Amino acid sequence: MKRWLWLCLLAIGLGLHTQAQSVEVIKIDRLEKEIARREGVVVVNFWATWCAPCVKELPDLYRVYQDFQARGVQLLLVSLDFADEQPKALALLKKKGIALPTFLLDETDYNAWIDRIEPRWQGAIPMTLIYRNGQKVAFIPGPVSYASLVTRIQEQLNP
Amino acid sequence: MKKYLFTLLLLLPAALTWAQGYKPGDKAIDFKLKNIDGRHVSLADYPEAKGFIVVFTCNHCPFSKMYEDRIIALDKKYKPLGYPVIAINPNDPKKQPEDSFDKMIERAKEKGFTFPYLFDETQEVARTYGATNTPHVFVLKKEGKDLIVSYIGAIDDSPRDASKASKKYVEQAVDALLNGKEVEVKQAKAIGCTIKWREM
Repeated sequence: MKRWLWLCLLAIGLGLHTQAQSVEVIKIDRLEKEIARREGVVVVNFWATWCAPCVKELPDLYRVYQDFQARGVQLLLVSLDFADEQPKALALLKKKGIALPTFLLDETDYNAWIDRIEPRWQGAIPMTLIYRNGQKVAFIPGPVSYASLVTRIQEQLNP
Repeated sequence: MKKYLFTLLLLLPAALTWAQGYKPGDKAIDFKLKNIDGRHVSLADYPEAKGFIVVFTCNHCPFSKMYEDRIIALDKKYKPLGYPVIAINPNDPKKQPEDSFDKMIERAKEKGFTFPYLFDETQEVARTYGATNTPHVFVLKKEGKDLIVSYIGAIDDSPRDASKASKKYVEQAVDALLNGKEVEVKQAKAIGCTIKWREM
């Protein structure tokens, strides 16, 4: 019995450690579904490897996620790099130690989908959205900091 | 106290325009900004123009760079027809040193810009127009003394490969204006770099 318990713990431990970075190339329909199906507070951040302020804030976003993960906060990173640059996005996440499954949105006819995500958004990145149970509760154009994001998340966790 | 109130009242319209920016159909303001040749340029310096292709762009942004050749092509095609390109760099060089005035001069030389490349040092023009990205285009049409915003947004729908563009938004807008027609697509969004605003 004890042995089983140990094995279980080991499996869980390994499971946690093997949650590695991935960058799945997706289309807009799938992204909308991914946002809608998630419960709790979800931070959706649009970034790209070529965008310096985006890359700069990634560690802060990840730290917020790590600090609030236990309270059900999820982080959805959406790269807007071109699809053939997926390896570049993956390498960057690895370098930054961001161990998360993430997406690359392969939709370059931007005008066709930007308004579906957020009508107030003009398309500049970085851009961050916060959802609670599938409902959009915050639109943050431009860079975010650890502190400002924590404030926003706490507003949603303790309304 | 009264003094503060007065300042607040003064700032209010500015704050409102900043939040809103222009919409198609709005009247745009003229400006006077320093060009890379050291002279100041305003739209009033072009009495013969029928309108303008105002492009907020910069040196450092990869999306701006992808469009530089297309911006030059727009100027070459439309300047003789009365719609010259006026490029404006709105970025704070303290935040992005690559977008300094000196670097603007360098970049314009490297690329052989055929149009003025102006520095919006106070960022007032970008705020008033409601520019948020680079590159971000505003096509203006002259109507008497007024400048009417006729198109806002992206240059086309194919940032990386000009030859694959199927919707050439700016060209379609200017062509319509030149033919005395209504611009069909008055706004089109695209991904770009955020304008680097100064810390206030």
